[in-house]
Amino acid sequence: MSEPSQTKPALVPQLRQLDHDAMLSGVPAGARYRVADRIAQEAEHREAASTPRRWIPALTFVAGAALVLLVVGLGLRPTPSSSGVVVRSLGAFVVAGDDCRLAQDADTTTTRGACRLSSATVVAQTWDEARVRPWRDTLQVDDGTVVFEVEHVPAGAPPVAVRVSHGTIEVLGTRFAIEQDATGGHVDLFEGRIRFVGDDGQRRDIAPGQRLGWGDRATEPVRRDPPPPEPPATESDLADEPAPAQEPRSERPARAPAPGHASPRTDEDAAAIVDEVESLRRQGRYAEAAKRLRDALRQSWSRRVAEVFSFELGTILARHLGDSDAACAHWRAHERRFGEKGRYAKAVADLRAACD
Amino acid sequence: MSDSSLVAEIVGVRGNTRASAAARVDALYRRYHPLVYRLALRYGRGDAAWAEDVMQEVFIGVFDVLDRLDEREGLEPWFYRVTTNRCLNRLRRQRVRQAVPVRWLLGQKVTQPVDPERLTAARQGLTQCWDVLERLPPKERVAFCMYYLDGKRQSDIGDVLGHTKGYVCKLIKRAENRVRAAGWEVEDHV
Repeated sequence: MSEPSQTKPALVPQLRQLDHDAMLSGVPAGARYRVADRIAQEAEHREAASTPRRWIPALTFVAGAALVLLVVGLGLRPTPSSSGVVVRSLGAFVVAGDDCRLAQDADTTTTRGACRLSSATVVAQTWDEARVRPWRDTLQVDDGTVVFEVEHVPAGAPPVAVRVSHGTIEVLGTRFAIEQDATGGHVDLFEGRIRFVGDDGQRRDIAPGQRLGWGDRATEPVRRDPPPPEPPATESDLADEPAPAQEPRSERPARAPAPGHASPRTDEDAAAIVDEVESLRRQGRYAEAAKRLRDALRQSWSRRVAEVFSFELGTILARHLGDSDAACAHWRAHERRFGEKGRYAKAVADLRAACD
Repeated sequence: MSDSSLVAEIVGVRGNTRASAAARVDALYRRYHPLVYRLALRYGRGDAAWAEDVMQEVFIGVFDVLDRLDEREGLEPWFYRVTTNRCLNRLRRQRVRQAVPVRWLLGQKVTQPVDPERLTAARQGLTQCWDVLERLPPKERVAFCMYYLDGKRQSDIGDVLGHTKGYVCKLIKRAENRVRAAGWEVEDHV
């Protein structure tokens, strides 16, 4: 074993020699400067990359503070409508509404969508397109349908007035709707007291439930609905209604449809009436809605549609018009017509129990 | 420059409010780059470009750990350990890349970089020992060099490589056997 090992070269001494040579020769100048330059570049890169990070907390803080100020600022500002979104102002009115859009044309403002115009004493509501303009402290209605609600005017104080095409409507705390077009219009008074003062100076007082027209629609104040002698939603009303066209009751032979309504009405007709009633309800015109339903129930409908109309009519009579006698009579007729298996049988039974 | 003077320099740099990480790394580079380069050149079989890459990697990596470096004590052991591990990792990757299936997949041929210093060493007849070292697996090569060239104890080698003293001893023995199998002796016999 010792023979070959004496002739073999030793590895470690040679490696030590290489290490020693490398240490003496040092790092080549080119390599030294290249690496130093690369380190400097890396330092610059990291410095540049870290600079925006220092701004992130500051920017976050500023954005958060701005958001808080915005929320607090909006929270402290009085809003004219709890549910609406402030759009802009119109004279003494603040206009709001989720889908309210305004278009200005000279002095006239056109409202589209559901808009709520609020001032200190008057709230005006529009649903479809209407054209109004500021007039004194209130509005002039040039076109469209506008429902007004006016807070009670103290005795001795000047009445709130709304301008229409052929005169002025003086208001003493009330709720009414004005419908105006280019040639005339009318006002429906729901509650309170108003007076129409024509341009000719003629004054006409309007009682709740009355409608007064002017221009091409000029009428004397006439009682609309509910008309005083009208027996609304009575048993006879429902008894006069034709039986459901598709599901005539076996114990009661179907009677002939009313003249002019020989064929059963379609679902499209029913949908149109539902939309119409819904629109009237939104405007607070419950009496008109009840009358529309009552008229509809005299026509020929499927059992399902007739039952929906009947239940809707009873609800309006009981809840909105407060006519408990008419409502109770209607619920009794409803039960007789649609029986205990009607879709609203349980609700109607409860409501009728209150009558008893 | 001694370690203490370097520490004073670094502390002075740190004390300056305008001092940047670049200045601190530059101070460390000026002090320790010969050590790093020498180790890298040894494990890189005398390849200057290879050693330069290692040196760059080591000092770029200093930026990531600069805040954790305890500069009150000499950093030579730290640079020794980091450089050794960097070299070990590169050797392992290199070994994988030079495997026949991988070279076949990558369509590469084994080419030795042309380096003037390697040519100089070849003229001196010393490159043969690098060839012997090349035959050792990376971990055995590093443990062998640390033990014989740097005079490290087996426990210290175990700390650097993350192995037990017994495993380090086994690595060194295996390396010695491979050196002898290549027709070399490890040390001179006096």
